[in-house]
Amino acid sequence: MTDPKWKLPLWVPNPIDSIILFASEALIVLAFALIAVALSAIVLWIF
Amino acid sequence: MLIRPAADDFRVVGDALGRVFLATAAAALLPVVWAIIGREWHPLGSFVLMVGVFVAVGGFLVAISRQKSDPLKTAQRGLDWSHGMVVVAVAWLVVPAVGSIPFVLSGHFASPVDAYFDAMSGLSTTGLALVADLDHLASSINFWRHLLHFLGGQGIIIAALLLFAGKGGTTLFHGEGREDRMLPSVQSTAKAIWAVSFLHLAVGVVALSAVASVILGYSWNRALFHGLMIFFAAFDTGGFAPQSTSIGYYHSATFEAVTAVLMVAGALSFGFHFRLWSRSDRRYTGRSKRVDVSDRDANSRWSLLKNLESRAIITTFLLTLGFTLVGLAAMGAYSSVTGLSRQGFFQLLSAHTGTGFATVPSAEMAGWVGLAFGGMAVAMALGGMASSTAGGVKALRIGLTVRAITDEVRGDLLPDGALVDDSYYQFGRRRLTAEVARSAMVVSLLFVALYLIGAAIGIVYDVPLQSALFESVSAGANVGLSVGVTDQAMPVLLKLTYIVEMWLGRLEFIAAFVLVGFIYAWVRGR
Repeated sequence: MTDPKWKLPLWVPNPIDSIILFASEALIVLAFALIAVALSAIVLWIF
Repeated sequence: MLIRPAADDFRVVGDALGRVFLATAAAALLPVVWAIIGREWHPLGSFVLMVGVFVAVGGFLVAISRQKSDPLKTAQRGLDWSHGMVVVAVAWLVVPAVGSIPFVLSGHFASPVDAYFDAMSGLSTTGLALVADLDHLASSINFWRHLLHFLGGQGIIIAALLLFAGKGGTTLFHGEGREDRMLPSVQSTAKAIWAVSFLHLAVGVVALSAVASVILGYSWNRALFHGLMIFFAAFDTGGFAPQSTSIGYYHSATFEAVTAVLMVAGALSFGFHFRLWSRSDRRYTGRSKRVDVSDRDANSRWSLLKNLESRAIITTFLLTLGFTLVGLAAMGAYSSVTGLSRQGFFQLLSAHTGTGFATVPSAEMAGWVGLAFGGMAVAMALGGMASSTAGGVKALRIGLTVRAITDEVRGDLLPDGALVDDSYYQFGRRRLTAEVARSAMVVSLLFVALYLIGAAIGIVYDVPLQSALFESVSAGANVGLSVGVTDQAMPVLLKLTYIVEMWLGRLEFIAAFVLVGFIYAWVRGR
């Protein structure tokens, strides 16, 4: 399927891409949360 | 010398504005349906009145704009850049005014100014609230508050954009600060933005409702209500909540985790979402000459981590998180790793994404001093990614500003005649021109000025410096966290100050300046 004006492929999402999208967003939060836990342990140990 | 706008300019602006109001009227039918299903007859009358006013104003503007116009001239004078900016600026002032009608008639607001404050806060995805007795607000009114987040976040302008065919649509698109062109046409880009939003709507509401139902034990309709409200506020980085204690009401780490994912999703740019969601071999790479479309690497999902904006937001998030956690630990606010990381992380994420949800009371947050206050305030001021629903300076501008400064310093340190690589990576390699750097710095400085002016007005009214700064940054960056200054009892001038801050912050100044220029040219031009 192409865009009639620009003759370029139209974007059509699929389920695997959608899973990757949400998994990526969850991974970002998980990574930051783990860093927060590690930082909290360090700062509480210092103070 | 300024040229006075001609009658055709007003016709073009009026026609576009009228279409925006009619589109908003269509969206405002949703709370009407909600009130009928919920048998909330008193709010129903106010919603019908609101829809009627939107239709009347929108229909009137469209009708008079087409009257007596020369078809040839109208075709020649399409919606240009300045018209689009005026439409955006006026729409963001008038939609909350009409949208506040149900608030005024609900009896939960002390004055029309308070109702307008909440409507502006909703549409600008800020989240500061002056509503009284929120816990007993009619569910349809609560739905309208949160729907304003969705309409504002996804762009009432984007919705109206689908009604415009042709060049003018692009103008409205840029006016709202969404500068990523992901697909060949404005229409297809707007559709992609809505597709991203509705996918998140479906998954987000199901996830939140499931947690509320299974873990918190809510009935299915109560779980669905809370899931929908929190989704609107989280994904659109708004911050309204159906309960006065915000996310703290749920007392659930799982609920907070799902909300955190949606907050992060809201703070990511639509370009970022789009590249995560689409396969590289099916992706349109853009027509911009600044992007080297032959760069295959620019098409992979991993290349997102190379983006200047991604690196800037990761850096600022980790720095402000570190400051906040050290500050809280130094204060002795939390004695366990679980308490410190959970509260510190959630509050900081809420601040940096510009959402404004809280799991600690505002009175407790007012006690966060030193580095904890600094980390939170800086995170709020910086905000999320450009072309997202988050407010604030935006990570791309921070990255560009830092890059321009380091290039300048490197140029001074290197021998005469040495060339400094002035390129940066953002969905492909681009040149950091003086114009791009100046634009980023000017808007960044305007945000700093906005924060300081708002804080100064707070200080005039005897608000302590730290609280005045916190609340001003929260309003100007469209965050919504509060340390208790935002209250029904605060002076009217301070309420108006925060309203203007929310409006300017959402429009990122330029559209507002064009509106002022348009009015000035009308009055003083020749």
